[in-house]
Amino acid sequence: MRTTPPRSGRLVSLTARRRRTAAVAWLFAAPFVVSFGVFGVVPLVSSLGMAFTDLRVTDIRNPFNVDFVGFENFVTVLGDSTFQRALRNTLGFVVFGVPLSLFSALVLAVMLNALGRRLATVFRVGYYTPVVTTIVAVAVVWRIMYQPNGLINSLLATVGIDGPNWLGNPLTALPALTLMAVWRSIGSSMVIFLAGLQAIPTEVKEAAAVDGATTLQSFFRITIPMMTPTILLNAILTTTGFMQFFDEPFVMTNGGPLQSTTSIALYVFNQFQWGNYSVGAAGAYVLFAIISIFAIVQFRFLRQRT
Amino acid sequence: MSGTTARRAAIAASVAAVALTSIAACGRSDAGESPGGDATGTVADTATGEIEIWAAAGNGDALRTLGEEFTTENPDVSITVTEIPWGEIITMNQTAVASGTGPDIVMTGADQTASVIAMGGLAPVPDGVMDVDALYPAAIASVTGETGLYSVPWYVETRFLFYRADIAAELGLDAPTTWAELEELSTAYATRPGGEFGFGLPRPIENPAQVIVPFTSQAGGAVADEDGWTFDTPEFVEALEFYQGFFERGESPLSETEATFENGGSPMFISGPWMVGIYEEMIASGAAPEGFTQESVGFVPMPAGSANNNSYIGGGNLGVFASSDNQESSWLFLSWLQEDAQQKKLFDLTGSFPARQESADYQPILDSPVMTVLKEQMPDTVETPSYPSWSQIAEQIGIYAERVAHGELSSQDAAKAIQAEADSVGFGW
Repeated sequence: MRTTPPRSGRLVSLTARRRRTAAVAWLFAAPFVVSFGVFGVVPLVSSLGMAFTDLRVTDIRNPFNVDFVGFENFVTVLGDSTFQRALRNTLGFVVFGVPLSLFSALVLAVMLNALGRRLATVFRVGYYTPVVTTIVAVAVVWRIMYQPNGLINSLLATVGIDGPNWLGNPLTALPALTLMAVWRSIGSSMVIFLAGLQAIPTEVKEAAAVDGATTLQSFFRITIPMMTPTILLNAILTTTGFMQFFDEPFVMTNGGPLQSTTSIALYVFNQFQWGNYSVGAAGAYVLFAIISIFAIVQFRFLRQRT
Repeated sequence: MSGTTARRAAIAASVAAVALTSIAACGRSDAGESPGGDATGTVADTATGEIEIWAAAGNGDALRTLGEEFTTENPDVSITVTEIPWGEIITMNQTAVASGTGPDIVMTGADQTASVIAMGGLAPVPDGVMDVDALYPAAIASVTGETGLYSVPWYVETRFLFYRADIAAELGLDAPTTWAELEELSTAYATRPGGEFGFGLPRPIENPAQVIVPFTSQAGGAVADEDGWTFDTPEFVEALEFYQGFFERGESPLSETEATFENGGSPMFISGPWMVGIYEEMIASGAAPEGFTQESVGFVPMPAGSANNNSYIGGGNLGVFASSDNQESSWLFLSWLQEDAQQKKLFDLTGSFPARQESADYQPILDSPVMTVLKEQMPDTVETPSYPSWSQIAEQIGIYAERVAHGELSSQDAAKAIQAEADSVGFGW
């Protein structure tokens, strides 16, 4: 390990130098450490603390003049029928939306990877556009498309299907929003998948082809295993994003009809709007816990194979 | 390696210690503290210094114009007005109260005032600023906190019934004046050849509480008394059933629809005076469907239930911010805005209906057909419950009303469920 011979005088100066280097390093890191501390750690710790107090709208002039109530807010949140409904909706949204989004993104990425460079760029821009478009503008268009005699139902009518009132029917509203969210999220997953695909050395595939592997075999035996880290990254990013399901119901349905599209993030938002800050904070930490569990499970499940 | 771990542990421990000390510092020291501002202030004889006003969207110009007039009478004062979107008012006030820096005067919607009072954002109104008896009682209710008055009603608005007068005439029916006639006209509209709906009621995401509260009042009930919320009452159940009936008979759309008032698909609804202007513009610009003219738009006061024909009341209130350092001059300005001349001027500037009852006897108001209906409706209004928790309760009413409208839940069960939710939330003071 050590290359210099252990001479006492030199050692002292080395320790001193190391200490000085550490000080300089901290100095350089200080802008980040201080700003992260002030704008990151303090709000985090105080919001966690808030979840265990009875802070309400009437307390904002004296936020420390509140009582410590233990887990009472968490009991309130978990016992609230609206929250339970929001939890079911959010989980349903994630369970159906995330695989659909990842699968479509992977298929698109594989297809784009097979295309020529220039054409691929055109499609990449096209599929990425929804990611950078404002949800408010997109929502207007989608709402028109979902209308009882909008674009989607007109298309269905041409094949003889009498389409439902998508956003007005409690059974179809959540699937309708899921589809829209998938459309919005495909682009970012696709770009990451594409980068992953391009990182696979062509030699490996060529070797497989020489050994007589079919395209399908080489996809499942080479591409997918080599893509596992990328899939893991995308799965975690998409799940985290989908768990915070908020934009679509907020602008499209406001949680209705019959609470069929209400979500945990919307529930938390409403609690803050109503001035129940501590209950809102507790709800946010329940959401945080669920997201963490999902991330840990995905890590365990996908890491084993690499 | 072990040194780093030890250091990390030390940092974690100190962070935890800091967090715990701040939690330990918590605790309600004084339960008797009033939620509003401090002791009642006084009114200046002449205004001085700067007065900064946060006006709700659409009212900035009127306040600026009136402010200039005030400045000519009080040359030592300067008034600056900032417009705030309606939806941002609560958030802006929360931030201002938490940081202790805000404007001198804040405007709130009648249904928002209680929340800002609860934050401690508003100073109590000193004696002599407003003549309580001269204003509409429901407007006074909207500025009343747990322990007194915290804002000055500036203008008021109410809702009444819009109906397709031309189609009603074809069907041989007059404007409805009772619930029974309203139901009759609604059914006639919906079942006429080519008819679709009869009476468009606010859907759950459109805050149905704003019609259910008036319906309850029309049935002779109230949703709250001094002790608490009163939803589990025969009158509230009756109101819910009346609401539900229109959905059950398919006369009221349950979801977004292409049927509109102007195309005759949804020929009746409850709304405010601004709708008249919208239709005038639609007709003038040629955007209206053929056959839709000024004569098609009928508007009358609300039809009466068994007790009365009380309607919803809203409006704009002006209050002095609790942490303002120019309260005395601000009160003088608000007091001045209450005077008859300024109330009439406000109507000239924005078309807003004056909060001062006598100011409504103003020729331009009497000459306007829609303002005449508004003026007729104004005495028969029921205040929106003025409690900080109202928006949360209204949301619950919306959730259960939707289930009732879908036929999932009976009105009795919904009333019991809303009562239970409301009891657990309380008034929110």
